[in-house]
Order: sequence, then C-alpha cells, then structure tokens
Amino acid sequence: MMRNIFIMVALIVALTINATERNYQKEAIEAYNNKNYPAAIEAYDSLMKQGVSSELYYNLGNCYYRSGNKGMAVLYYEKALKLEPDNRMAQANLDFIHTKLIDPYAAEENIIVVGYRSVRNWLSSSGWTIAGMVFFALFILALGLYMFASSIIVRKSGFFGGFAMLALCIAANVIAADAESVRTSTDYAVVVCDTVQLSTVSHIPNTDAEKAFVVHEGAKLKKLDSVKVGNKASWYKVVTVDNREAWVNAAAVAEI
Amino acid sequence: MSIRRLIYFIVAIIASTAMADAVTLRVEAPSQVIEGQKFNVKYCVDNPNDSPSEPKLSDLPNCKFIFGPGRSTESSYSNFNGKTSQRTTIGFVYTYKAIKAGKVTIPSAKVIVGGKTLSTKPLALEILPPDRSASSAPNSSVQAYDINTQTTDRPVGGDELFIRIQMSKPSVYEQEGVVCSIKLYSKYQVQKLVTNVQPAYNGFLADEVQLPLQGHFESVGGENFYCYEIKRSVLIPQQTGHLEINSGSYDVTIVQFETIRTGFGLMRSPVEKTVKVNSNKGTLNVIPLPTPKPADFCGAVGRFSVTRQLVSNKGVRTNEAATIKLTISGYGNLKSLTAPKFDFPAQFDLYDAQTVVTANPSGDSLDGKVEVDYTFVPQSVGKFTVGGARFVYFDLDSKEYKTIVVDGFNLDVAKGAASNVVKYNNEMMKDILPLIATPFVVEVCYESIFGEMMQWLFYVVVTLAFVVVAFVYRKRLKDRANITLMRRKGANKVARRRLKRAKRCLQKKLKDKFYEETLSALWGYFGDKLSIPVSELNRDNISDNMLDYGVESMVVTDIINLIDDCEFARYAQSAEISLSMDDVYARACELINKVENTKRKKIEQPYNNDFQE
Repeated sequence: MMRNIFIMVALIVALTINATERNYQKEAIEAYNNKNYPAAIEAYDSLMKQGVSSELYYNLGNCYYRSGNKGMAVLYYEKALKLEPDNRMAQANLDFIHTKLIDPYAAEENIIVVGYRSVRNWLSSSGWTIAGMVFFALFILALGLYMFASSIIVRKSGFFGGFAMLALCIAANVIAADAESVRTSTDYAVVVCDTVQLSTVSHIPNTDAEKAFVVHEGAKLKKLDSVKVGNKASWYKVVTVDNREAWVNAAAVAEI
Repeated sequence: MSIRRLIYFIVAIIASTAMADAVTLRVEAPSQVIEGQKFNVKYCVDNPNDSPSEPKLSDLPNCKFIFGPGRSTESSYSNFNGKTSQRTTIGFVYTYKAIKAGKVTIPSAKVIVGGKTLSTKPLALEILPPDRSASSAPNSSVQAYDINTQTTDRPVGGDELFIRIQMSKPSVYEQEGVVCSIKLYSKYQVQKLVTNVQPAYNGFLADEVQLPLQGHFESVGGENFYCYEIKRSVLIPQQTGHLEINSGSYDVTIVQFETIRTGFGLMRSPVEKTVKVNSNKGTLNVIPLPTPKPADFCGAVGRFSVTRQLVSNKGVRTNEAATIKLTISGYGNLKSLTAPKFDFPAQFDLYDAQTVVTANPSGDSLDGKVEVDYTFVPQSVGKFTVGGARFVYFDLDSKEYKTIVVDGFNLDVAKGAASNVVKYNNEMMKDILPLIATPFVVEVCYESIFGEMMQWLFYVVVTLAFVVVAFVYRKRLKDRANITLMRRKGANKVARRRLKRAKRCLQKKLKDKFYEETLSALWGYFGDKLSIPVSELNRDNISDNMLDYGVESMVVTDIINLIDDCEFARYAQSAEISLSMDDVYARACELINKVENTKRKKIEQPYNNDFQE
C-alpha cells in the first residue's frame, strides 16, 4: 500500500517537473517570429547552460543579426562552423554578413586550399579517425589475401590494394589530426564592439605614434600573443585578414 | 468739421510714424441671406493716410437700400516679437433688405483716399427664398434664420434635422471615382456631432477630403437649412454590382431657445438638446468595364501619361545595381492600378519592383503619380536589350481602352567590381537564411575520438591479431604439407600392415575378407602416395599420376590389372575363380615394392614451393 502511494507521488512529481520545464527552443522560435529578439537570445542563452550545438549557435547568430549586432552575429556563425564545418547555412549567412561589414574580408582564393578544406569538412575529426581505422582493417585484409590466397589475380589485387589502403589510412589520420587541431584551436577571435582602436603596444595608445589602425565589428583576428593580468588576458597581439599586426584590448574581442 | 479734420490728421501722423502700411480698401458682406432679411455691407479703409471720401456705390440688385453710411473708426495695436504695429480702420456700413431671391453680385465700390482711387472686387451674394412653410402660416413651423420659431416646446422632427449620404454620380464603371458626401441639414443651430455608427465603404477604396468646419445655408425642398458637410470622400469601387453604404447613426446636439419672462420683457435663452439621427443608405451602381479587356490591361481607369528613366551609378556595370524608374502620372485610380512589366534579359538579376504612390483626392477621383522602381543587377558584360512595357488603361472620356507604349533600353554593360552577391543553392541571397526551427539536440562536451586510447589500441590489437593469425595459419599449412609428406612416406608401411592383415585372411581362407583387405591396402597405398583422397581415386588418375610419378607404364598396367582382378574376385560371386589368393598377395607385394623403389620424378607444384621438403 505504502509502496503504491510512493510510486504515485513519484510519478506526479516527475510529471509536474516536466510540465514546468521551459521548452527553450519553442520559446525562442516564438519570440523570434514576433520580432522579440532579446527574448529569443535569453531563451537560447538559457539553453546553452544545458549544452551547445551548431544549430544553437546558428540560431543565436540570426537573433543577434536581427537585433542589429553584426559583431556578435559573426561570432556565433564562426562558432557554429567551428563545431560543424559542414554547416552550409551558417557559412552562407556569414558570407552574407561579410558583404555588409566595413572591414574587408579576404575569402580564400587558392583552389587547392579550398578543395582540401571542403574534403576535410566531409567528416568530423572523429569521423576521419574511424575512416582511418577502417582503411587499416582493409589493409590488413589485403595483406592477408596477398599472403595466403592461391589465385594469382587475388594475390595481385591484395598487393596493390594493400598499398592503396595503407595510403588512405595514413591520409585519413593526417586529415583527422588537422580537423582536430582546427576544432580545438583558440587562435581566432571576432571584434564585437562597433569600432576599436588598435595600438602598436600592449596598452591604450597614449600618443599618436602608438596608434595603429582601427578595426570594426565583425572583423576576424588571429591571436599571436597575449599580455595577462592575473589569469585573464588583457591585451592580445593580433593579425588581421590583410596581414596587419597590432595589439587589441581583450575586452573588445570574443574568442571563437 | 475742422475738429474731425484734426482728428484725421493726428491719426494719419500716428499711422505714418508707425509702420508705413499701405492703405487698403476691402468689403465685408454675407455670402447668403434669406429673402426678407436685413443685412449689412461694410466698406473698410485700412491704414488711411487721409480722410477717405464716401464710397461711390452702384445699386444692389434684388435689394432695397435702407440706411447708410454709418461711420466707424477702429484701431488695433499688436505687439509681436517686440515689434509693435498698429492698424486703423475706417468703416462705412450700409444696411439693405433682400427683397427677391436669386444669385446677385455686390458691385465694386470706389473710395478716394489720399489722392488715390481704391475699389473693391465684386462679391457674390446668394439670396435664398424664404421657407415655404413660413409664408403660409408664420410661427407654426421652424425657420432656420428666425430663433423665435426655435422654441424648446417644439419636438425636433425628421424634416427639421436629417443627415444625407449623397453620391456625385448614380452609376460608374468599376475603378471610376465618385464623391460621397455626408451632409447634416438642420433648421436649428448645431453645437456638436458624435458619430455612433460610421457608414462603411465596403467594396471601395476611400480617400477622405479635408473639409473646413463651416456651415452654410442650403435650400432643400423650398426650405432653408443650416448645412454642414460632415465627411467627404473620394470612393473608387473595386467590385461590380449594386454597392451599398450602410446608414450611419449620429448624436446631434442642437440649440433651442427658451422663452423667459423677465422684468424687461421676453428673453430668449439657448438650451441644448441631443437628438439621435440616422442617415439614409448610400447606393451606387457599378458596371463592369467592357469586355474583351486587352491582355496587358493594367487595371487603370482615368487619364494618364507615362515616362521612364534609367538611373545608374556611373553607367551600367556587372554586379552593380541600376534602376529603371517608371512614372505614371494622371488622374484616376492611382492606388489600385498595376504597374506594367519590362522585359529584362535572363542575365540580369531582378529585385522586386518597388511602388510609391502619391495621390490626393481631386474632383471625383485621385490626382497624382505612381513611381515604380525596377532594380536590376547585370551579371554579364555585353550588349543587352530591355524590352519595353505597355501601359493599357481605360479612358473614361472616350470609353475605350488606350495603350501607352513605353520604350525599353539598349544597354551596354561594362565590367564592374567583383561580385558582392552571396548565393545559396544557386539563388541570390537578399537576406539571411531563416532560423532552424526543427528541434535540435545540445551536447555538453564535444570530444573527438582522435588521439584517444581507443584509436591506438585498435591499431595495436589489429596488427597483433593479424600477426598471430598469419603465424598460426602458416604453421598449419606447413603441418598439412607435412602430413601429406608423412602420408606419402608412410604409405609403404601402412600398405604392408594392411597386406599383413590380408595374409592372415588368406591363411584363414577368408576369401571375401582377403580381397577386401587387399583392395583397401592398394587403394589406400596409392591414395597416400599420390596425396589424393581415396574417395577421389579411380583407375585413370592412378595410372596418370603413377606415370607422372615416374613409374614404368608396364608396372602401371600390372597395377591396374591387379586391382581389376581383386575387384572381380571380390564382387563376382561365381564359383569359378581362376585366381589364387597367394598369387594376388604376391603380386600386390611385388608391385608395391616396385613403386617404392622407383625414383620419384620431380612434380610441378607452382605455389607450395616453400612448403615442400
């Protein structure tokens, strides 16, 4: 009798907890459709506490763009692409925003690099690792065929096939390593405030000689070095897409 | 006389020392009077610099001169932004009585002041006929201009206060404009109007005309009423048939006069009364435009003219936007016509046409223009032709469809800046892509399996497994070859053992068993020697393989004969046996010996070279 009551109570509690849990995605979609972008951002930020995904970052990018904050939009699209380099929608939106930014954006023109990147983006680094393992297994199989088969055709295919599979295995592992390094790199940051004056030294420029140049929101910067205050970086040495180097205040940028 | 002159002189000096304003002459008179009413016409000289002469008047038609001129002098001072100005007016007032109804003109009058002759413009004056009801029985019906008839004891009847919806035309074409006036007619003065139910213009596009809040007299059915136009709209019907405008419902507050006895006599005091009034229904008959309509009819009805213009930033270039501006100006249903289309080549990316309408009500339709922007972005260099457009409209004057041909453009597209256009799925992006609305899963931590233990373990394990398996397999192959080798080597021994068994059967005179054993010895021996399983042995492959082995063909024939004899003896159950078991036994031993002693010919084994001895 007591056990039954306990089960009932547990069920009711479970159901009510579920009923009061906010469906953040639904809320965000409704708010976005009603043009209430701050509410949508708030819902997605709450959802971020539970975890992240490429789609979540993409949606946040959309919300920030609609709110007029192009810098944050670029940041979130870059984050989405970092998680899922294959996210075509994030890439398209990012390209679209780049036509509206003040700073020039040099898209990669080298066809080999572009081709390699699109191949690398077929799979995640985990995917390439598994591919490598599969190729290795096929290599072993081919080796066995070469060593133990009786038909001369089978032995020949085992020999050449074995070479091919070994080569593919090595390639897959190299690509996996590259994809992993891209995935975990913290080298890049995006300018999130409207304009920021860069310095030639690692602090606010005091004289005109110390002023470097100005970058605007949405510009992508590569971090080369940093000056830390305690554990947090306060100034970064960065290089822009058109290869100009300067120091920027860490507060003006956000890491991808 | 001289004092008056002195006064004028002083006034003139003051006037001249103040702002040197010009002397002007104007006339003030009512625009409408009722027959039988007295009224005043006043001529005003502003800022006189001298004593003006008496105005020279002509006779006023339909009116009787009663009295005049009465003189008046007014001064006004005003202080505006620190500047003081002063105005003096000398007025001449003449009193007339309207004796005959009709529309007359107050003729211009002349005044000579300061040596100059000034004259007034003629003014229109409408003399309205008196109410019919007034002439028959005075004081029994309400007259608009006589407050003695507007006493509070009178109930306000529907023929003394009503609201009418009037259409300027009873029948129009679809999209042809018509004016709808809502007018309030009242014998009493109107203080306030509140609309409870607004007449709705269903089936029309409506544009309201701003009206000054002014009433005038209007004669309806022989009676004079105060008339106020509450609302005037230009309506353009969007559908055909018999269209109706529902009657409106209003609260009208009018003024009646209460008679109060005072010590001085009778006094009239105004009292407000609010009455509910419903208007009539407005109706309009809308006929469809004549068929057949031309295929490229733009839905326009009225009078129009069209111009077009190409606007580009420093010429037309690839990846740069340029615009064709089309302007349709005229008089008609500007808000409900459709813009014609130009024929753009496929190599131009087109944006949606933007339309701006500037139209104001005028007369019974709208006057203004429609500006359409066709923005395009050429994608390739070269010569292209943009085909012209046709603007087809229905002309109300001639009641037929007319076409205005708008020329296109011959464009020479030069190379422009690099494309600034982003494409997604081969379509130009004009805005960011929409939100991902399908539910997605979030993960706390994205870990890759690259570099993990699992990966290294896999490679190590697979390699080891392969090595082990390969090793084991090689050994087995070796052993099996050995077995074959062993079997071949031991073939003799096994055969001799079997033959020994046969000999025992021979000694025991067990014939069947003897031949069975001998045969099994022979088959077994050759099977082992030749590495062929007994089940696959037959005479042909024994003789072939024996020859290959290097055994002389005579010996091979003997072997086959021996096998034949044994089988015959074994399976033929006849009593006739010319064979003796001893003989068979001896032959078997001898033949096996012979084979054993034969030097083995090298046998071709292409793949198992490594596994041979």
